[in-house]
Amino acid sequence: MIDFFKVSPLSKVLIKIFAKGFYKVHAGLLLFLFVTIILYCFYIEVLNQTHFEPDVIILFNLSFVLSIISSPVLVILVFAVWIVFTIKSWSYVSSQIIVPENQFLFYSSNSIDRFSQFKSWLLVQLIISIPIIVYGIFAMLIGIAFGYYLIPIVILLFALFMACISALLYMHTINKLINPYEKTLYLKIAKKWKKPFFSLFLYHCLNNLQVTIAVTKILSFIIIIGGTYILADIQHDLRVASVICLGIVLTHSLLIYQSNYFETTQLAFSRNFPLSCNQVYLNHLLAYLLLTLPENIWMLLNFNPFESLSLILFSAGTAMFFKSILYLIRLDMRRYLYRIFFLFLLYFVMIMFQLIWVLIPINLIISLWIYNKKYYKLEDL
Amino acid sequence: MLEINNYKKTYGSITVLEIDHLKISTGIYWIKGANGSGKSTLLKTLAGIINFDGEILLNSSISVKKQAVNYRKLVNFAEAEPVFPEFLTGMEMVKLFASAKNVSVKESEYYIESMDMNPYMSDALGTYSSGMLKKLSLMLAFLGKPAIILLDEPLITIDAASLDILYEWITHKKQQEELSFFLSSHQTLETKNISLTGELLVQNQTVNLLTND
Repeated sequence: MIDFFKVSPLSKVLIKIFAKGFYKVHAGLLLFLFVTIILYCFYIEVLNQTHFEPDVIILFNLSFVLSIISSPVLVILVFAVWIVFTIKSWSYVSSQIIVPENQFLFYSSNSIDRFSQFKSWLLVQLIISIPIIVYGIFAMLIGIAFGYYLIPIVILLFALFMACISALLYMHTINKLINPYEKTLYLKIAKKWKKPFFSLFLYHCLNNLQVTIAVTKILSFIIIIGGTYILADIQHDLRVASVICLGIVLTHSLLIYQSNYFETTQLAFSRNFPLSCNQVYLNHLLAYLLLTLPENIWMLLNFNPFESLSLILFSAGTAMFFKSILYLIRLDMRRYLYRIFFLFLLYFVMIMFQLIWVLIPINLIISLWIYNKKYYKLEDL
Repeated sequence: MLEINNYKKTYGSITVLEIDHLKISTGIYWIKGANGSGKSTLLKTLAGIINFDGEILLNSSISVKKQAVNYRKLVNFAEAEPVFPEFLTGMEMVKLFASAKNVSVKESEYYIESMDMNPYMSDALGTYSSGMLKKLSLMLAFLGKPAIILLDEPLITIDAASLDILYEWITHKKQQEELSFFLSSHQTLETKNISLTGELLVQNQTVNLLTND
């Protein structure tokens, strides 16, 4: 019985590679969801809320929490987010299983009996699902306190079911014979397309980061639709559009990090190309403009040419500034996130004071300066 | 002609390599040294892709720092363990390099044919073995009219027959153009196949030039 709960050496290795790796890569997204959704829902204070009594405020928060466990519509929505999260974790683990440094698992872990393998993979998935499990436990405690038992039990059973399915999927992958590279649908379609230097990250997204890009675009459009809907009465104020732009760049911050990771790991050879820092900068700027083409089209359709061009420049400049920060701190996700969130808050305040006209040139000048100072001055590859 | 002055490469507080002054005339050089001695670090700094203190001059006038773009135009580099985007094909890599180094794609034909790479040049790099990737990487370093070709551990990964072809490429290129080769290896180079100008011995955090004169 004690052995059953003992963390096996295989579990330790798998947790270190996949669970820790998952959090390292997705910390930005999780932090974003945590800050924007959880804190907003539980701690937002409406301006001039002096007319609300403390009892009313508590009742409001409580009714929101109870709706999580009593409203089937909200629960279905939560399950949908849950499924997207689980698919994201499948995508991450499956892509990591086949990288060369993890291929030793194909000739080591699969010699262990199936039940032990299942336990180890289940543990990995449970750790990856901690944000969801915490939510499940929270819902269960609230449910017990207020007499809603059914939905919390369904939530926990659903979490366990998804974790078991995931563990079986990983086990199946690791026990089947390796197919080193399978052509994706994109590769078949884009076989004849030209692939200039600036476009390589976009192809990489289509080929390797489909789930990340899908989640990013969904979040980006939630921000656009949500922003324009909530602030409908003042949507012609450029500050609203600027805040939406800032949100769009924030949702793309993970992809910006991924672009630097891609450069470091797979485009290291291009550092020997005779390209100046300014040329590299323009290549990256063009890639970002294409990556956010749908958002840029939205701006062009909803604002006059001068405003839309300003917003696109603000969005692209901020993204380039975020990207250039990575040349200062290398691929350190934690430090990157601290800086992104600090800048987000600073820019938000500056936009409120109508300083977007200052931010547009500042972004472009500082990011270009960092490129010139740091791009070709990496200490190692 | 390559000139290295007051060169120092550190990782944190650890000095990996230090060269006060070194002048290397045109030729073929074997960079010798044990694992971890700093051969790859030296080649990466010569390729202009990592930072260092000091100065490296090509042909007495082109500085790796001050004329970086011109310098990289004239220096080609093949990594020890090349990593390329898996979704590109071999031919797309050739086109990418040809466009960046401003050379004709046609130049690659001789290398592709002699190394018998035609059957897989249209395949995605994700399907390549490490040997196939290595051959592609070596071939890319030969494109254009460089003044220096840097080959990091060219002997590893590829088979004996391909190694003979690589020696032929070096001899062929050297006969056609005035350029230098720097080949790093901890294994012994087959000197009967190429005529070495000298050796660069990397040890004790420095580099010593041993010429065959």
